[in-house]
Amino acid sequence: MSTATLTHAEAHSHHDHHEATGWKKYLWSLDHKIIGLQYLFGSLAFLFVGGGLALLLRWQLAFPSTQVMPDGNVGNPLSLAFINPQFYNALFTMHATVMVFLVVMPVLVGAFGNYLIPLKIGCGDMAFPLINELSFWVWLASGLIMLAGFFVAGGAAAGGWTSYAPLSSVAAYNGTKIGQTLWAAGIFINGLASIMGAFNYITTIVNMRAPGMGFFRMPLAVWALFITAFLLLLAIPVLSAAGAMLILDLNFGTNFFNPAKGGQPLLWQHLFWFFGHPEVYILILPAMGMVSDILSVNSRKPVFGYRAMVYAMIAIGFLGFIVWGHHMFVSGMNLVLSAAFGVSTMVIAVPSAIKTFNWLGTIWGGSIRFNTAMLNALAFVSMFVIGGFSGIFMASTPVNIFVHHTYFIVAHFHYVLFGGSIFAMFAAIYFWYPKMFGRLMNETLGKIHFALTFIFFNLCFFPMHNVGLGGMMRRIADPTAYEHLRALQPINQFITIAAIGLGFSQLLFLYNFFRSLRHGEPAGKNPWEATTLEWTVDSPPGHGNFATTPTVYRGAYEYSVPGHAKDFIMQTEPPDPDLPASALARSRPVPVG
Amino acid sequence: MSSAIVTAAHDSSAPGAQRFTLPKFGMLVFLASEAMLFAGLIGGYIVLRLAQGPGNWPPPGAPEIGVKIPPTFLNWVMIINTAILLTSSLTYHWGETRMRKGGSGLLGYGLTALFGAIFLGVQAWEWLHLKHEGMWLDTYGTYGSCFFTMTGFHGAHVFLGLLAILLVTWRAILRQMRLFSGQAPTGSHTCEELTGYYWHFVDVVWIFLYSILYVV
Amino acid sequence: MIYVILWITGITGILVFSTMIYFIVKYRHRGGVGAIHSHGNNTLEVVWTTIPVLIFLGLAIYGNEMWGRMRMQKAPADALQVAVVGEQFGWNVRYPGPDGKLGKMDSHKIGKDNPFGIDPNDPDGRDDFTTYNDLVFPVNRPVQLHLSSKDVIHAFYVPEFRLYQDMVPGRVYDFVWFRADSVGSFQLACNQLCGQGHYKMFGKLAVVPDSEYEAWAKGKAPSATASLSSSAEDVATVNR
Ligand code: HEA
Ligand code: HEA
Ligand code: CUA
Ligand SMILES: [Cu+2]
Repeated sequence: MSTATLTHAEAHSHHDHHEATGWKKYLWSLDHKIIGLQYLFGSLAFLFVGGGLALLLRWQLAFPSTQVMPDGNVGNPLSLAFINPQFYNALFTMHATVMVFLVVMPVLVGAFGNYLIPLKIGCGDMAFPLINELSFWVWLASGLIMLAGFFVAGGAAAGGWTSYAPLSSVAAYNGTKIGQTLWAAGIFINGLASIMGAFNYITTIVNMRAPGMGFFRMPLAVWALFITAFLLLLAIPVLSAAGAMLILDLNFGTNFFNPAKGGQPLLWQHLFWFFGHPEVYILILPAMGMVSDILSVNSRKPVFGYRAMVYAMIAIGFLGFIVWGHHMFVSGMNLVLSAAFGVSTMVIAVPSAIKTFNWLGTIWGGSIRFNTAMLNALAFVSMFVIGGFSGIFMASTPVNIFVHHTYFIVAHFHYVLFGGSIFAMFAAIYFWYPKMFGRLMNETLGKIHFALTFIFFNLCFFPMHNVGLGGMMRRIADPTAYEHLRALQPINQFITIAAIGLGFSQLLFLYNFFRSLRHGEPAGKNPWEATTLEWTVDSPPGHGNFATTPTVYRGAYEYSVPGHAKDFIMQTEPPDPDLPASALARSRPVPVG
Repeated sequence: MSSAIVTAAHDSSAPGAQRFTLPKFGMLVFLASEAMLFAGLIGGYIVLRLAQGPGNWPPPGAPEIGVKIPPTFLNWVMIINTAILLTSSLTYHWGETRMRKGGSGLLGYGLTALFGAIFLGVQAWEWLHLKHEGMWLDTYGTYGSCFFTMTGFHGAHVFLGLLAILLVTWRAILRQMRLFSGQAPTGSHTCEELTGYYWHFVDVVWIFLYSILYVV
Repeated sequence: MIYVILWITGITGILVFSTMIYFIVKYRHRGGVGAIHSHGNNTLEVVWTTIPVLIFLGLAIYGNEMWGRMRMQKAPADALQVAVVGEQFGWNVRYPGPDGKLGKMDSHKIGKDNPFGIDPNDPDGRDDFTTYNDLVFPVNRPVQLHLSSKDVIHAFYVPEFRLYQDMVPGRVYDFVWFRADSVGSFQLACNQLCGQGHYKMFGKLAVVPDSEYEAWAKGKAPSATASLSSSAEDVATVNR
């Protein structure tokens, strides 16, 4: 190679790092792909922890152990005696904390963000590899700190994942001073990891795109992660500030949230939800981006309305910061303000609608291949729509009063979180697994896993709408304590059985995942015949990703272009000199109808 | 030689792109996040303060820290301390300018470190003084909580900044030694530039904090 | 309202899912048939942006009007005034005596022995009487609530009445009022996580004919500031 390149490399040698070998590679590596895999394995492990907690709390709901019969016996022979009410509260608190901060965020943002961004924009690594690796370990530490709560005096935090003050901030009220402090500290540290990831992603995407990779040639997955990174960057620190205040209140006698001393409990809620609503979009935007890619590849069609998709995501990102009050309609904040938040929440549903219709537009007229990834992606779209619809109910202030804090809401967020984020996670894993490990996952097992998950998921969470409208409150350890809920108890037991089915279906996924590492069919470079840059390199890609910097000549979605032999054109393929330039610039207009 | 690095390095120095190097860009993005951290604290402060109603802030009996006319002794101390912190930004800038022109910048950086240390020292003195007067995290309702938490968060940032500046000063000493021995200083200025961004940011935050905690 | 939304989401839901299923079946991969090439269509984008905008605007306006009617109207002057103050884990309830007036509540005075934050010298409060976990409302008569809390956030929730309001300590909420239109007995539930006894923090709530209410109220002895709560504390302790 020319000396020019060499001097270049020398001049920047402080960037240099070498590939570690053997098991060390998986503990401490600066390669974004390894870091992505670390995040993937870490959060899959936590998925089973969080799911295990969910199954325990479901068991308690079906067979409560607190109901004491007149004769003094515990009412139900099936009940698990160790789940007392305080422990139940800790269960759902930690279930949600684990799922949100240790599963969905790290898997979508940490694992796929790290793995895909450099590969998809055509560069060798993240801008700051060292900070990247640090963020993984800081994240892992935060998870262990939060879970440590189960082993301290008083038990784990039990104030709900929203940790409303003053229950959370006054030790005498919650009885879990240490657990709650560990929770807040964990959230703070978790935030550090997220921020490290976020500015790394933004710097990388803005500065390190391969030649020709204009912003509007980036795959939607990258766009989504880009916008998500901004949300992380601006929303997380507010939660960190609130978490710090909570720690001070609990341990050092400050009075931020203590009304007895002039503090404001609602301040916690405002700070939490100012973070909390952008957070839910942090949990769904990357999913939306990846699903868009998967739908397009497997329909053999360009994404319908690519720019509209991008603008819709930007709009969601912006609007996400001004709707937080819809979680506080009944908190007694200013009533006119409530009305305004109701309106802004309705507005944010519009870009979601745009995205939904564009997904439909994408599969319309396609030539759809129903592999496991595609099935999960389609499930994502439909489940997100159901979850979004229930969101509309709750955004309407008068209806919200009726359903607030009932299982209707539990149904809503499991539809968007499991139905949305987790199905997207499965889709993404099935889709990029061959790139990550060089082998395909087993399709038959994958389809069985999908079918079981889809069925049990709906059996589990759809009835929650009904019990919610029936007036069942969330966060109660024993529904049978209430007269109006006793009639609903069979439904609760049904839900629990479905939840167990859902949980055990995931074992199939694990089996498939680990079996395919050894026995999967070799994948080759581009098993799905996709167009984006990651499919131009080996599976798994070598250290440094690209032997030479790729040059990008076209957008990310050139499928079924008329007049081409193959039904896909790689982004790196130079323009065909035989075609007039105008034919490349504009695609064939489509008749409406 | 790893091709990854060539790619990355190549891109970051691609023509037309770079007013900012990668680390500088990253630092700016990171500071946006830091700004939100203080925005959260300041927002909380405003809510808590307004909730007390007019006339109750500071609460009756609390030590007087707000600026008075004529200023009290404590007022003067904090005004001067603020001036010192702001000056330290200027000295830092001066150090950087000298460094870019081929000097060591030692004097500018050294003064910055000194001013930063003085600022922290005075801040600590103020804390002890107020504590002595009976104001602490848990007294005077939310008044003490806000004051110590916000100045504490800022102080922690100044402290980290100060560590970075000590590093920068040490590098300046090395550079000065090379100059004495007649060699030209070499090496990148990234470390100095990043520290500079951070330090100026911490200063700006202090302007906000000083205005709402002491003046308004 | 809820039915309006149900119709709207129901219809869009059916449309979206049937299109989706139709597309899925119609455009499944078959040998020889390729995909259409299309990057999108701006007219369509505009159409499917505008329609939801209109629907949502309509919903927002309708919803807010209803919100205004529910929460921003003043209670009628003859409404029965009742104070309810939550604590871990039970309800302090205070009814006006024969004068029909409640003592004035001051959230700053709420404390261990004074759950309602009432000035002992307030003449209006002298004849008030209190109960614990026990509410009785006359049917067909407006009732205005004064809600607050002694310690953490609780929420006043009667599922059958569509009634819900958080009670944040340090404030008194007095914009909630309602009129029960049939007699019956119900449960008042706490619907904001307030600690380990949250799940069983409920009170008895009866709606009775006017005469029965008067008789019930007469039988109660006035209590100036204190409540039954201290004597009733063991009722509220939680069995583990
Ligand atoms: C991934 C996470 C996620 C996502 C994407 C959303 C999306 C939305 N959410 Fe949800 N939400 C949560 C996670 C999420 N939410 C969680 C975790 C909670 C509970 C927190 C807690 O208390 O613990 C919550 C709670 C919550 C509340 C508070 C309820 C309460 O406590 O009283 C509200 C109220 O407005 C709400 C509304 C919405 C709306 C309007 C959307 C919209 O963005 C949805 C928009 C999408 C669609 C509408 C579907 C597609 C559109 C069409 C097909 C067009 C046509 C549609 C119509 C004409 C209707 N959510
Ligand atoms: C991404 C987020 C996410 C995900 C994926 C889930 C997944 C599940 N959730 Fe959760 N949930 C939340 C986020 C999530 N949840 C949030 C934010 C809350 C609010 C908490 C609050 O109120 O503060 C909540 C609350 C919540 C409640 C309400 C509790 C209450 O209010 O009292 C319930 C009740 O049914 C529930 C159930 C479930 C079930 C059955 C699953 C299932 O999908 C889980 C499926 C199971 C697995 C995937 C694991 C399989 C593992 C095994 C088979 C092995 C078992 C191993 C051992 C036991 C060691 N969740
Ligand atoms: Cu009181 Cu829940
Ligand atoms: Cu929200």
